[in-house]
Amino acid sequence: MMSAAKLSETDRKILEAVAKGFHTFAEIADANIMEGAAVATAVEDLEMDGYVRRRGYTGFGFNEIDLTDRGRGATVLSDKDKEALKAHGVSSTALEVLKFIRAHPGTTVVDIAESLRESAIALVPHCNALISAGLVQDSGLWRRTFTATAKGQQVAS
Amino acid sequence: MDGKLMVMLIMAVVYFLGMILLGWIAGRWIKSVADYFASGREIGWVVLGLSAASIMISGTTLSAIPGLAIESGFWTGFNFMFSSAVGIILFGVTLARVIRRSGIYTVPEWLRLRYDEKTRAAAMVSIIIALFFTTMAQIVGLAAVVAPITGWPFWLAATVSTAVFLIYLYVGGLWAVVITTVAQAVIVCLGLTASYIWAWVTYGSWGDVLAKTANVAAMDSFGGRGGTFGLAYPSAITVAVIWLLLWFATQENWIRAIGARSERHIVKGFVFAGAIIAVFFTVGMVMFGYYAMVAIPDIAPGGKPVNPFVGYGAYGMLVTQMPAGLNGIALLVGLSAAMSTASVILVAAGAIIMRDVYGRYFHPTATQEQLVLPGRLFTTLFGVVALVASVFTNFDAGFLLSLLFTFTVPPMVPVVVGMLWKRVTSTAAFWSVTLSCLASLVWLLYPATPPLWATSAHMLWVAIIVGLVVLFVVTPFTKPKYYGEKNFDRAVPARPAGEVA
Repeated sequence: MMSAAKLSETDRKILEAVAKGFHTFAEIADANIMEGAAVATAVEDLEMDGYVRRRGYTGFGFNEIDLTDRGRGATVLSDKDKEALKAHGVSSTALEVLKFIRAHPGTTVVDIAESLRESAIALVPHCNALISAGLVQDSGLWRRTFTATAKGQQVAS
Repeated sequence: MDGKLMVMLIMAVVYFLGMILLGWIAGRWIKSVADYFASGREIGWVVLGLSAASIMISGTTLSAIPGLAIESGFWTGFNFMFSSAVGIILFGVTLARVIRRSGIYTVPEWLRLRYDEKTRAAAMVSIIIALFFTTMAQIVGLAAVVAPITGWPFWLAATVSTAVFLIYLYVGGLWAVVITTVAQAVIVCLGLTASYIWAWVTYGSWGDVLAKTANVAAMDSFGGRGGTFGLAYPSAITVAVIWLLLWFATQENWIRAIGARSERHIVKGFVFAGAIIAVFFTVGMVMFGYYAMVAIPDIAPGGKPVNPFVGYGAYGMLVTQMPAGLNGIALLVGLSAAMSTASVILVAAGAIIMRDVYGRYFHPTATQEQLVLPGRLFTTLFGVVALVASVFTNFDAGFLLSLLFTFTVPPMVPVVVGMLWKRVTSTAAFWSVTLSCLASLVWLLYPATPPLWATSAHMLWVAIIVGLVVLFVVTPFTKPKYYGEKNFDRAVPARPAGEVA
């Protein structure tokens, strides 16, 4: 069995992403600027070693994972992330994004990425998490634009 | 050149330049390969729906639906488009959501991760062949629209019109395809509506025209020539399954699903696409066939088509009867229909070559930014090779589309069954793809007149039956992945202690 010390950098990033609330392979891949295929390959090893488990082996659950007790034990989150997740159910990066959106209503993910010096694609799952949490709403026919909701304004302040 | 043709030519040139301009605008949004092939996951449901619907109204459907109506009756043409609308909605509410969750761009990539490298390679060859022939079919269709109005030879019409969409594709990738296909979908919907109104006012209501053409099986039995449950084309069940599997297998739809903002947008977008197809392209397109029979009685003198293929020019023949201005709009409908499909197919082909060939074998460590240029070059190269093949071969569009069915369906059998049955093994999947491809190719090329697919069973059924039989026979005797094992316990790690990944 692979010990926690022998987890690769990719494995650790995947576990950390799941702990931050990203469960689908696409979210995990985007958050870490990886390919979905790389996540799928790593998940097989992590699952066989008991760190994660899929939500199903057929249908929709095949590409979604949760941490097992072993996986939780091997995952180290920053204090900022723990606090943000506990208080608002989103990561500290998502809260940074929320603050930017609050200050710049109608902004695009590219604007946010330039401001936070992140890859735009890496911020997509954070933006979606903010929408799911009811903190942000999106619009825009072509490029996607974001505005903080009343709840989001409150959280950001 | 007379004034009517000159107006059409000017409209075509303005249209071409407009498409290149839209591609240039989109090009400014490209920063990484995820932007080039997935639009940065920013596609909303309205844009997704219009863009997905535009692929349905290709140059070939514009000629095929009125032709089917003339040859085989109202319900045959109706089934064709209505099945497509239902198929795209089913894709959106099922597989598209799974694809979006996976983050996987291509069918071969999916098969590698679910099964193994061998299955991926077999599927990759099959799908690249399918995309190649489909691209050729669209180029042939596009040239058939451009050549008559310009007076250019086929090769020049094909080269100029292909060059236009290759330019905007090179610059703007999927974003350019999305923007241009939305523009093209709007042109097609408005242009067809104007044409429907013109036909109604000029030749009478749908009821009048159906009554006038009653002796041409205007309202024949459901299923038309092929019947309802026959296995040969175009029975109602065969057409329905063709569309279901084509929408599921179409690489372009996988890329659209990957590029969508979220699953919510995917579901709404594909339902919207189905609604557009049902409203704009179903009954009205079928009725073009009947209007053509009234406007040009030579198509079906005495109530019988002069030959099975004459109806495929029905739309073009109606365009020649339209007044100046409206005929230009109808021309733009034809150009939009052909270019929207061709360009999105090319993006799909580029994604497969870049990810499954270049990224896999030649530059596996490339960053997203490093893949943008190869992505552009491979997409363009694929289009140029398809153009050359279109010019130097004499395949008709119908035969090229038959090859699409032959090579697209086999890889989807293990994809779908693998999503429903965790026990399916890699060995079974590889042989399923390989043998069903070969079987359907033999079925297509078997020297019979009329062909087997029109008399006995469509090659789609051959691919499905052979693929399923191989999967269910081979799987019990071969080893599945760890989660397919009977004793796999999710709570207990399966890897032996001490083994490192």
